[in-house]
Amino acid sequence: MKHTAHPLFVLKPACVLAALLVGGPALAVDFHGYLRSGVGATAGGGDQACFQAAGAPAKYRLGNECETYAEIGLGQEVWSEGNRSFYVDSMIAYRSDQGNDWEAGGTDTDGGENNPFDEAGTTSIRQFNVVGKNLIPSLPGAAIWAGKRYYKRHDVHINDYYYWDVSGPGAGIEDIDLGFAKASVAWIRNTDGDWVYQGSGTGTNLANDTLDFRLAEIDVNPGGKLEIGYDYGKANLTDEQERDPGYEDQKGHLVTLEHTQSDWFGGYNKLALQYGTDGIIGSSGRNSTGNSDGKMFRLVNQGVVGLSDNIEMMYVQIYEDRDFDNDSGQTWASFGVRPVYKWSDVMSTALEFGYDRVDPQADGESTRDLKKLTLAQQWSAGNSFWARPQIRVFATYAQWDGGRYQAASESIDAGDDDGLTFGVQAEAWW
Amino acid sequence: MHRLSFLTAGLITLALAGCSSEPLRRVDALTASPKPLERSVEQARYALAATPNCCGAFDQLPFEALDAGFAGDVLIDTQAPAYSFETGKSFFRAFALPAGGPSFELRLYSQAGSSVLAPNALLLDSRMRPTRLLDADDFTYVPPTGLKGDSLDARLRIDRSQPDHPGNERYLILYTSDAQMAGQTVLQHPAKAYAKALGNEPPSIPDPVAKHSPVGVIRLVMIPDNAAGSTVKGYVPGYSIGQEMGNELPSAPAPTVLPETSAYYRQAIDAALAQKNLERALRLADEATRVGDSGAKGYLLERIQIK
Repeated sequence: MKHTAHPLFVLKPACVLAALLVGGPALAVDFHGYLRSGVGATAGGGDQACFQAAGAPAKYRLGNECETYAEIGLGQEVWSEGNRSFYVDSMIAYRSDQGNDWEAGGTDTDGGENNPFDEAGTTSIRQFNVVGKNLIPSLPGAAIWAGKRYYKRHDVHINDYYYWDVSGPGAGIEDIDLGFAKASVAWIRNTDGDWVYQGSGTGTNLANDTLDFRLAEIDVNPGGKLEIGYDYGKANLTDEQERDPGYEDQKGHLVTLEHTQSDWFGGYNKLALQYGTDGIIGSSGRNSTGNSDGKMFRLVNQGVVGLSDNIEMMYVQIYEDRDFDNDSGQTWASFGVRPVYKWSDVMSTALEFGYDRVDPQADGESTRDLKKLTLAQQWSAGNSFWARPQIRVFATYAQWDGGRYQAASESIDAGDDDGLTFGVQAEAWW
Repeated sequence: MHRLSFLTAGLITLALAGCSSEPLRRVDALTASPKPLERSVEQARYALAATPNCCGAFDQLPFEALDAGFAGDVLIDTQAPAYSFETGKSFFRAFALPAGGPSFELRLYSQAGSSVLAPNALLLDSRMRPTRLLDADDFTYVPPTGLKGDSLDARLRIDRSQPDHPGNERYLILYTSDAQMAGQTVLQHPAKAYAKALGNEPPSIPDPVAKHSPVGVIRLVMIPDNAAGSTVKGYVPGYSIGQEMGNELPSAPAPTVLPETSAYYRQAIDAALAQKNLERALRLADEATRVGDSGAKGYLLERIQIK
């Protein structure tokens, strides 16, 4: 006689009763976050130096990060009924100089002297928000949200560069299904320092509003998706600020077009083109009231490709032209590659080459460039380019023109043209 | 000199991360998972078709005994035995669970790469009767976290609160079904995992797909109750031992009938038949059966046939 699998058996009353006696799964809190930390030194002595071209908005990060940075996020879907739900999310960020065990913020043990224990650590409230999904019957699939939030940030991983990021306190409706695209609208705040009343010397904060509109996931070609964005940034002036005849605030517009191509040499490519004006120039979409008039063009092209079964590579090209009417602008060109050769499931060797060149708009100011090369032996959980956690033992060499600027603040003498550092760093996200 | 000491420090850190102590098995992110079985799905299907049915019934399956606290990888490859389950023929591995000891939690992680075995987990009680079948609804995709890779995961609790209960789940069979082999699982692209962890906008690229395969690797972890708590789906055999649970009713030994009694009923049946009173003969045979003379009915039938 053949026994047969018969799941209906469990429905018999005695078993159902038994099942009720044992509780259901515990409500799970989503724990997510990021960390990087480690220890390093500079050849010739001293703490690890990190290298960045003066005026460049980013630096290539492998073996070139000198601080401990961590984000601790806790989130939970607190209510759901059918497809309607509420999600509560939170995130605190921590940063320290990575110089001591005890690194606190807000301490002053020696009256403003340069004690390394003072002000070495900071904490920031980065996210506290609530997202409500499917709450509006006429907008199925859409979510309304409010609170501090990382808002649809677009970055380049290998140089930690955020080219479209209006995160902050805000509110909005996201992922409205239009059929051909998903639309999102948001109102987000940034505050850009004090406005100083002409002559009186007292100031009040300048609150800026950014209105952000996006159309994402537009099919344009096989494997290709387009995202279109528009940001309008403007100061929200008080009556007193408004009445000040000597104060002129700046507004800005930013248009972003981004094309993402999958099936691209075993990976994908992302090309972003941005055009911005006045207050938004030089930023990732947030307004700066103090800017001069002008315009900006920016190109960011990046991707991760699989060159063979054992080699994955990330690459990026950036060109940014900030053209201010008062000649305070600059052009920034950047190019970087990080090929990774995988020896096994857990060990790989990464090479990172990065080049930055900053050319100031003003006459007479000299061009500044920096080359950085890092070799790292990496151990990670899995062999994907993105596999983390990862521990890496690295050596970094950088070269620049020391006669024009100093590329590192620590352990490198003024006037030096190059530097060599080494260390061990851990990186994880989850 | 400096360089060497840094390297040593790094290696020590690695070594520490490598040794997993007992309680760490409770945290999925700290449970290192094996490499998924990257075999051609087509070839595995041919191999399955070519593999003969190993057994005629569940009780003939090759059961391997699992010790309490077992943690390891179950390889269901083309060398595994095959059996024609009701849901279709499949490679399988069959296990005998520890009979005694504390209740425990079973965690199953079927490793996903370019392919994945979408598991069925069938539990049998001590009499090889199915108690539970975990299938596609129970094995859910969990993206990689920490040392855990992409996998289809399920958790269940095996009750041992009544140590000698015949309804206790004693056997576990891991296999897959025709319906599940026809499907696929969409995994999370690692670039999107990165973006989500950092609160960035994930790139608009399709996620990789793992085809469902007849073969795969399932990580199996058993965690005794004192460490795991009892919060996952459980099955406790019923407290009733009525026949609905497949249990036999306790049977009292049959009363023995005195030979005199037996002889009396046979005489009485003969007398009734001689008077052609068949109804009376039947009543006598029934009465004899009730007092424990099971042979009386046969005796009557014999008489009737001879006539």
